[in-house]
Amino acid sequence: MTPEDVRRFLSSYLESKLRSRGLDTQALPDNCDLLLEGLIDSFDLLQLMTALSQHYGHPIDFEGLAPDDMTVVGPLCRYISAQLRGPFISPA
Amino acid sequence: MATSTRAASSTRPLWSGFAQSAAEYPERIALRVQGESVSYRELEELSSRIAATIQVRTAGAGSPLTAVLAQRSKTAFAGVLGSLLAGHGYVPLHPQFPVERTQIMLEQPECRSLIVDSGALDIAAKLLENVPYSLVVILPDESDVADYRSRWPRHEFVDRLNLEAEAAWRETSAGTDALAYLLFTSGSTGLPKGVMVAQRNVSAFIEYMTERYDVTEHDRFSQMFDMTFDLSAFDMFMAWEKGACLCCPTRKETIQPATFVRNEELSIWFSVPSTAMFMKQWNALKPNQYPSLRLSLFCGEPLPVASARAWQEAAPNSIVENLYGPTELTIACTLYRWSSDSSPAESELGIVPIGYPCPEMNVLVVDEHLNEVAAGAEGELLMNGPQMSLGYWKNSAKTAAAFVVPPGKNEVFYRTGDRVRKPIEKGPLIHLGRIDFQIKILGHRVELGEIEALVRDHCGLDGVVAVGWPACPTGYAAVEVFIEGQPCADQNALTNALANRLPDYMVPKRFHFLPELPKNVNGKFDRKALSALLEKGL
Repeated sequence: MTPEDVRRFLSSYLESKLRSRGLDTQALPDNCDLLLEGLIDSFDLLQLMTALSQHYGHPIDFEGLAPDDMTVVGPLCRYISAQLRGPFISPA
Repeated sequence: MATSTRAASSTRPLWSGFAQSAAEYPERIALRVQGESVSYRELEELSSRIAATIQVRTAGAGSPLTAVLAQRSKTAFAGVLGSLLAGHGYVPLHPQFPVERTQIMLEQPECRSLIVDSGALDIAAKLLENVPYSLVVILPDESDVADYRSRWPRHEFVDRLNLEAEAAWRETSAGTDALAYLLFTSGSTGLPKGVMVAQRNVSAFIEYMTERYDVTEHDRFSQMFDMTFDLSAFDMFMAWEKGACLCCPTRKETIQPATFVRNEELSIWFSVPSTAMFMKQWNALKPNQYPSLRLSLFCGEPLPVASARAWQEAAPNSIVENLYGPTELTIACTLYRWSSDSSPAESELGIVPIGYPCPEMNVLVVDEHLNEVAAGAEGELLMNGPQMSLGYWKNSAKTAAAFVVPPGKNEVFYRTGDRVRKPIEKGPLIHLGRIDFQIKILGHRVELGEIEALVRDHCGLDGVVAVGWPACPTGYAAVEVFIEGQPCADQNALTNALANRLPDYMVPKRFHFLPELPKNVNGKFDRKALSALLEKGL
């Protein structure tokens, strides 16, 4: 599962919100902060994490993700991709 | 500012607690927001100047209400205080709500003055374009409003350099029913309805709660709620009543509550239970993680036993309480103190009891004919007392339907629509759910009928049923909609149409078109059957 795959899932998951804000549904930029852009709040984030775990059939441990990166598209996709490759792989 | 002495009576103006604290502790920090510490003196000065500006510029025109379009900013809090000092109630507007909804909330109460912070200028521009009458627009974060004046000549603009002087403020004599705020909640017929909460309602509550919790000037309160959520009034007026500090998280801190509690050294926490669930899932409720907390309060939705237990372990020095209250009964009207030893046995279905009424608040548990049920039986919760609000703004039909005189009584009670178990002897009230189609999403009241009405309006189809889905321990995570008929050509257009009218949490996640919706034996749409379809993975 590559970071690009995760990005595609994110785009699909957020499609209606992206569309309603007139944003490109196919290209979520690396530096887009989903929280600061108003695309998600803390509870949406939890739902998103649950949806990711269910979609990939793999629990995701977010404790290793730096809090400031938690809602930024690039670091988030890379972290999830690394998590999905195995429980002991460092996302660095 | 000429300050009233701290009166023991709830007939005093709501701002008087802040004024007294500002007189006693002018250099103490009243507010932490956007990384800035604002002293009582500073906040008093800005609030008084805003109040004087409202008084001078509106001169009694329009309703005694001022709208505050601002969020998590010094201007937002000064706007609330300024409105009250001007003798007005405040109408909180959310910068992230759709413009159409916000315009209803501004125009329906006939607000003539609007306070806007720098973060809400974009939505303010859209509002100003549409509002048909003249507004006094106060922009305390701006220093030049020439552009605004040329774009919207029918409105009057005041920047921070032209706010009236503090000395121009005049204390007004507020009537006994002077409003504290007008707060809009979801309405079942497609339009939000405004709940009129009087200053005396809030004062009665604040006076009792500050004593109950022994609040002092050394306390530090969290401010987790947006101002469109009435629980935000608790944080503000509890803190300012006693000279304490109100700490407002940044947007980033809302997803890092653990960091927020530690960095701000909070002593009093207040949030919806979903936040505790969120923190538990993020592994942010470790034993003894929050030793600074001495009081942890939850309100707005059911509190799961597992969340209360985990929170108590994470905040071992804290009292944990579950509060309950619809907006119409002012912030919270019943209280339950969690005990790790005795509470699990008093809880039902894994949910903590809502407890016992606040002083002078009266409880009835009634059947469908509004007759009292026997102890131990289920029924609808009715309450009245000093916290009962004045009803709905210019909506006598809805007020008459919700504020009723039950058979054999000679007093008005508010029908909460909540299903509870009537206590046996001195036991606590147990919340069991709703008697209607209102659901809670993250503590927000959602009338499914409001969503259905908008979908019907857009699709031109009558068979529309909205259901909460998926269920979670505190209510529902979102809404899905079933529509009887052929799929409409452009479902994105439908989503966009709803997103233009509803806050994000009310916009349906999915639409399901079925040739025929299932009905029950009474010929009504069968909501349980529809939820079962979702359960099966429709």
